[in-house]
Amino acid sequence: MPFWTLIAMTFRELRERRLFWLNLVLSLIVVLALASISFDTQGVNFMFGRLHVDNPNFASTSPYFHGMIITIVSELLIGLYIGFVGTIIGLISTAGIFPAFIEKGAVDLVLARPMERWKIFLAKYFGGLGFMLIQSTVFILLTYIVIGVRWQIWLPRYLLGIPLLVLLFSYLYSLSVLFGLWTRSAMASLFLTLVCWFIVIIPAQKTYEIFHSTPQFKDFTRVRQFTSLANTIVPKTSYIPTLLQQAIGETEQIDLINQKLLNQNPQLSPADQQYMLDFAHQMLHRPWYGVIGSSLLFELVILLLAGWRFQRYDF
Amino acid sequence: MMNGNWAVELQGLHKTYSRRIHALRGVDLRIGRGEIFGLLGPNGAGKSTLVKIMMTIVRPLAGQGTLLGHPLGHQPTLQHVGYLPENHRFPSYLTARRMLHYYGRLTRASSISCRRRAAELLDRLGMSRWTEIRLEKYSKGMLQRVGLCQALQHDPQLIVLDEPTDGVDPIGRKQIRELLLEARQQGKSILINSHILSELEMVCDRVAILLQGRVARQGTIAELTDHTRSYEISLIGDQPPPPELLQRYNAKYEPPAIHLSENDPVRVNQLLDDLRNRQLLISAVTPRRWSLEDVFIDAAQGTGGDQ
Ligand SMILES: Nc1ncnc2c1ncn2[C@@H]1O[C@H](COP(=O)(O)OP(=O)(O)OP(=O)(O)O)[C@@H](O)[C@H]1O
Ligand SMILES: [Mg+2]
Repeated sequence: MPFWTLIAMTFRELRERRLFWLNLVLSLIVVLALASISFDTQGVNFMFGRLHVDNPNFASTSPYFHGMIITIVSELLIGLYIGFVGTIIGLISTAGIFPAFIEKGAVDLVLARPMERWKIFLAKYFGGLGFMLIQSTVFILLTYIVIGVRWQIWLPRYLLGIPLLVLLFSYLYSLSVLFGLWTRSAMASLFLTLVCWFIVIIPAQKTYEIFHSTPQFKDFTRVRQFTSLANTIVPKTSYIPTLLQQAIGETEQIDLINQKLLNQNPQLSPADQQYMLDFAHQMLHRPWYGVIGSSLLFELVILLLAGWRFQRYDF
Repeated sequence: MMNGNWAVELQGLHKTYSRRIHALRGVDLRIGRGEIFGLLGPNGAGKSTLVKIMMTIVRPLAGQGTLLGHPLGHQPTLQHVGYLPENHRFPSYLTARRMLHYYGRLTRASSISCRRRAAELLDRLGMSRWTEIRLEKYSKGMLQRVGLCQALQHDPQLIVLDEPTDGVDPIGRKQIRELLLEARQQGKSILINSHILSELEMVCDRVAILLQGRVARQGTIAELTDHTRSYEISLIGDQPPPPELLQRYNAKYEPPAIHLSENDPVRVNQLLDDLRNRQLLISAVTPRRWSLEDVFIDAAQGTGGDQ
């Protein structure tokens, strides 16, 4: 019972902050903006039909229409929002949970209860995740409905974005919790988390891709091994949007796109082309449980560190 | 020997913060059931640290103890303990009613009886008109009052209060005192940290003075002050008493009174007889005894001088 009370209070506390409402309003604006666009047999309407642009390519009867919508959803909603904006907003909103919780005089009141510390820690942690679940459910469900109702394209697999966004968020949230406990400051924890993400986690994944896809680096065995290791350790944040993009598009289609890209680089030898294609194919068809599993392992280790510190700390 | 007859029993508690600050250096303490125990000591003596160890907020470096018969750190016991920390911060966006409900649930208190007690406590402390108002609008003393309700609402067996009357007006203090005395009557054990010695003197059965992480003195108020009993004999007129008499009784004359640091009433009467035999007129005989404050300052300066 106290466990759920604590989770509920974590929610309550987030709701008290202006940021919560700001997030919601921001989500609604994006949803409204999407809803304001519609397509008909002649072309595209903006601002709920106030502005009409005749263009057969954008018409709902165009053979490219379905692909175009998939691209918009893939690039904007998944690549941009789920991959970055939504996650960052989530991190901003939740960065204060632990620093506020461990403030002197406040934490005492909770620790002096018949509840083990690790349970208190988990309740606070899941409070943050639950908050993100709400935010991502609101956003993804609404955009899903808008796409279906306004554009007549229902993408049920897009709904996988709800748990996937929470998953991606949770990788980074674990870092934010650790830094929050360590620095006792929401700003510092947010800053350090973003630094980790953009200076360590993303580059680790990118360098891995570069060193394994570029034929010129074939012989850099040591470096390649190192980047492999780094990529195994860090949470695969870039994989989540890719996974979702794959889910709503056709995997073979993405293979085809890769093929096309290669054909634009005719200076490469056929063997090198094949090398790159093989890597792209291998990346695409990595088993999801391996990628997500190793990322979750990272998250677990970070959480254990944070939990250990929380368990031992003298408040 | 540890046994369940004590509400609190602590043995050899040591605590260092970040390896350098020695907050506690071997504290032994026993609080009986149905007893109000006062813990006093200068700032930084380790009073709050001691209390936080009891409440599992801080981990001791060494030592052991029991709370209501269970070893320190036994989390379920805390269900029967009420705690008001110093400088507490309640979620300011909650109303008093919701705040009490929240902490009641965290303590696994059954909500109906808890709510009833909370309402009664709020009423007794003059806060019932404020229950639906957010805590951010409360003054310091008001927060202290609802904080006290928070510590008492689940009918705890042991009540631990760190500076409970900090910022509370005299009427509130009296109300709090009455609540505590009533709780004692119901068999509850109470530990109070406070700097307001006159208040401790009024309610405490026993006190301990903590100095630099050690218990310097401990006992009932009477035990701590009995040896300081003295008499003041006021004389009429400005005729001084004979010096040899003063010497015999080890007394001092500061016109118009003789100060006799003597505990034995027989000796006092002997001196009175001797004075009257010498035709000195006595206007008053007043027994004097140190206050808790005198004991405290004496103890504090005592160790201060040692260093
Ligand atoms: N969290 C902490 N980290 C480091 N040192 C601490 C911490 N809490 C207390 N101390 C130190 O431990 C010692 C005892 O502090 P404590 O708060 O127990 O004193 P106190 O008797 O309650 O004082 P006061 O009357 O001012 O409330 C002090 O020297 C203090 O600096
Ligand atoms: Mg203190």
